Amino acid sequence: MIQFRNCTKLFDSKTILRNISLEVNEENSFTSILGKSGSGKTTLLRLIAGLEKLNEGSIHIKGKIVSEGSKIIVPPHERNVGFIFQDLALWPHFTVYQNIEFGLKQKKIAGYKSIIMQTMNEFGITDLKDNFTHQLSGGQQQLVALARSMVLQPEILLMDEPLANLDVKLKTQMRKLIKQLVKEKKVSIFYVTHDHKEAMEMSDKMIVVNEGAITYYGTPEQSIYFDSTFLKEFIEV
Amino acid sequence: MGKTINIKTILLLVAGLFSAAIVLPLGALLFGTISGQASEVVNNITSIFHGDVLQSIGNSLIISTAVSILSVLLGCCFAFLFSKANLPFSKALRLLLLLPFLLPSYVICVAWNDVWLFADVHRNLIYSLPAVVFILTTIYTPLAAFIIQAGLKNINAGMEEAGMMITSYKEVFIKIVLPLLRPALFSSFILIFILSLSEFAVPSFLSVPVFVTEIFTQFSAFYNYSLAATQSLILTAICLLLLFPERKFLTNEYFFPFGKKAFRFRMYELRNKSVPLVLAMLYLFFTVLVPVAFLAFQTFSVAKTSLLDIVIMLLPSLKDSLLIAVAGAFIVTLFGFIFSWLTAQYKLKFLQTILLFVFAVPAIVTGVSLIFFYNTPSLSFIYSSILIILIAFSTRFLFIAVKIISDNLRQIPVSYTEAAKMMGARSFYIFRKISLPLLGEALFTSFFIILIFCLNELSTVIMVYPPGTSLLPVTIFTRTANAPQHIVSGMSLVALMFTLVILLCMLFGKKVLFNQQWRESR
Amino acid sequence: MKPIRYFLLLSSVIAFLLTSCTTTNNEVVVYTSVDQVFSEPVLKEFEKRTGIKVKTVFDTEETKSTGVLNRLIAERNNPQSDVFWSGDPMRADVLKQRGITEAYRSPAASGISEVFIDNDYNWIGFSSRARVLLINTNLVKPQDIPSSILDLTNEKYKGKFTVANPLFGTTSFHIAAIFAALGDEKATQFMEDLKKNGVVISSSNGDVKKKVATGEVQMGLTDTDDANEAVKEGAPVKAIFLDQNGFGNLIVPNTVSLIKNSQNSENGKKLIDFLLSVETEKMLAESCAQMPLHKGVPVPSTVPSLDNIVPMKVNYAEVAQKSEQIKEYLKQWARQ
Repeated sequence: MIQFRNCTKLFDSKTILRNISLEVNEENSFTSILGKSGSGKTTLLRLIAGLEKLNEGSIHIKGKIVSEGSKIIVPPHERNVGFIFQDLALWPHFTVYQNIEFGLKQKKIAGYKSIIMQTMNEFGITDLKDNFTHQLSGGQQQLVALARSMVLQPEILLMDEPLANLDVKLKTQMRKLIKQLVKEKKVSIFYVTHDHKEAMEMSDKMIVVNEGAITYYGTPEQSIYFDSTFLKEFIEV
Repeated sequence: MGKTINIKTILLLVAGLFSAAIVLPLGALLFGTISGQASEVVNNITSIFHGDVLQSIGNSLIISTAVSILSVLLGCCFAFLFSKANLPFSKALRLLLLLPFLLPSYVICVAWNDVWLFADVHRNLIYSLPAVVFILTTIYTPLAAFIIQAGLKNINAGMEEAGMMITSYKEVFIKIVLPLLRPALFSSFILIFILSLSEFAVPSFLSVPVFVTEIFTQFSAFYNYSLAATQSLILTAICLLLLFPERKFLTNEYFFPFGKKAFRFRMYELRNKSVPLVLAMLYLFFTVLVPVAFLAFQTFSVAKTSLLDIVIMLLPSLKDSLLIAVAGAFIVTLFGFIFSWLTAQYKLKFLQTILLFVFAVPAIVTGVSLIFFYNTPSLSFIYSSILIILIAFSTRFLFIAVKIISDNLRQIPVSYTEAAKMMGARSFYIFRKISLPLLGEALFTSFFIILIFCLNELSTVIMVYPPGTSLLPVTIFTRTANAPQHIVSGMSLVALMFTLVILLCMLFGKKVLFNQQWRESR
Repeated sequence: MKPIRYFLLLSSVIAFLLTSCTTTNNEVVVYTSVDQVFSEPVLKEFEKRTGIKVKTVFDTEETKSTGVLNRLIAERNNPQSDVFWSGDPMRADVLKQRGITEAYRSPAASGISEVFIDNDYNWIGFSSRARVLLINTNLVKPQDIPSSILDLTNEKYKGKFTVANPLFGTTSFHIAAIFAALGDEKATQFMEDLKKNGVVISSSNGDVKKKVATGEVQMGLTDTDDANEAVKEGAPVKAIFLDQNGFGNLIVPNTVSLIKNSQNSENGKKLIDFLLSVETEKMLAESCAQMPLHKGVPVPSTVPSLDNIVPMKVNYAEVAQKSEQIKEYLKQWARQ
């Protein structure tokens, strides 16, 4: 479904990702991208989204080339990909409703009002409709961010450590909800985290990134047997 | 996608044309100066090693350094008292502190001179360098206080509280708060240094020779433009030296920290409120109330004076001035916004450097360069209309607008626009729906700050205003000569009240316009 | 908030503003260094009589007339102004030297003495001020009033008198006239003696007036209009004409010039004729005590007349040139 071919990414001549190649084929799955901070895991996610350009190599989504060399071939919004940012990026000057409405308005989908209402119902945030986002609790903000992305029915949802600031109980709830999404909405999730426990627990597959290279790609279970000092160290910590 | 590229191209083009409109005149003048006859150029440059000129440069540097240090120190105290300490009456005191900044400097200077003569101060003390430093410090302290206060508001309580767990607040203030304030301290220092370096009225009135009066003399007594322009270039170079710290310390920090607010803000409980209150009131009494009261005293000591008559006399100027200043503030803010946006989009840092350079050129040189450049048959549609005043305003103040706006633009998380981009919004739509509303308050602030600057701008405008236009500072200045004292003082009072009314409109407008729910409790 | 709508609204306001200052054809543009309080009524009167719209750029001697004079020089290649009304011949001569003005032999000048007219008719003088010694009557006893400008070097006036910065305005003209009258050597000696005698340098003639009126100094050299203003304000001052038994007291006429290649030169000539008329001289005599140069103009009793003061006999064009020559010296002199 997603293919990286010999991808290299630099920032100001510093190599972030070095000649990586990777193929993720499972649809409808939950893939974690695990790595220490600064390892390049967020960059990987932003490359899929089309928010960053490559320096070398190419990226393919569903067999279609989306980025090649330093060119963005398919712009972010045509990739049918959703993105949940680490800070959620809920627009402070819009209400919950307006936040969710924004994308639908862009896509000029007819009868979008009923779609919004339906989505808000599904996420249980209908009552918050007219609130500004800063008035919500952390968990509610997560729901709004999820709803805002999911209302556009993406095939792939990219999540950049969205649960980092939640308490344990909420985290568990949200994880459950996300797993459910994968099942019900037939969406593939790429989930960046530095929490190996979270990754082991949630993922169908894990991608481990270290110093700009992919050191492991496979199921969580197999990772234990994988012979890499870094990975071992990382998982044991 | 096609349309977005078009809009960007158009914006780039417009911004390019506009920067050409304000940079080319100065560039042409300065280039003309240094590309003249070699011997003349050398003579002009070596002229600064003449004893008198060196002395005036020395005076300039002493005054600017002293004024900026004093203003920043005092501004720091006031910013702390007004925003971090629970000082009573702080709102009223804050407004009071601002007064000297709202009047043209020559008005303040004349008022002080009268006060000192009235108090029988020895003339060697009045016509002296310390007197210039004193007056300029009272004018620029509010500016420093304003910027530093905004800087203080940015500091998250957590940072201080973490420190307070370990040591006393005094220690926390010195070791944590002050270093966090560094950008605000630096930017106010640089701004005041440049402004006081180009200050003409005060040193000239008190007969203290400074570099700007030297340049002015070359202009107005010797009509020696090339020498004056060369000397201006040297003055500008001094200001450019300040660019070094600006670039080193400030390019990635906030020059004007307006608009950004800490999540939680820590107030400091004063153990003893009366001592700082009395000190602040004493300062304000002696530096603000005394000259303003003296103006009022001079106005009303003559029984027949009616402020209404003066208002009626000044009415055409008030009207013209307001209209042109509003147009100027609008254009400067609009282009400040476009420039900031382009800077952020294309990382055009050199743009701000150019604008700082333009800002640092003395006003009178700007005026002459505008005449040379625009007074040609093909451009006289600009020169003979108020467009020339708008260009003059832009040359003087675009730097300030760009600084205010781009600092605020940078505070909008990139993810806000990226999230919209992911959903297919065009960049202009994102700009309109996301960036612009989030910037609203900064644009509003910039508009009014520039408006006040425009209303008081004299030095450049007096060189280029089209015949038949009447502008408030020009009218007051040209009428000052032979009008009786009480009329002169009355005009100054009217000008002060006029600016105050505008300021109050701004404060009120801010409350009404930006009181939306989403801004609260942020 | 609908930013686009605000934008459109404000833009149209600005567009309106810009279009609202359209030009009419029947107009004349005048730059003047004569204080607005006095020049504006005269120009308004001209407007009323002829229907020609007068557009003015005002300046003031307090700013050393930097505004208009530098503008006129800078605008040389594309003149915006038609007429320059100067408060003294010196500035008019600066423009003549730079080829900015052109000759106009106004018929209205026929009653004015040739002394006050440029040889090439590039400027013509009218209503005159005089340089006077303003004294504070509370501080100076009648017997101590100097009768000659040369008396100011006397020990008894040490540190008690003021002069405006001699680089600017009528003061520079005055000093140049003294150089013309005494010769360079004697005049330089006089200036050095003044300095030794503790002369106070003021920023302008208005500042001289103020210093004398408030008693900050006992006396100072200034113009009759400033002196007149001080009297009107009720200050304890008196204006003294100097050297009435010697080389005479300096008279400073207003001058008017036609700008070369200007856009409305026909209207400019009409304005010049008006300024040189008896009516203008009468108006200026009444408003600011200026002495008419035409004979027999009725004036208020407070206005001095050329019939009863001894004027300094100088060639005004020569003095104007002299003042250019001694500037560098005066710049040094003015630094205390």
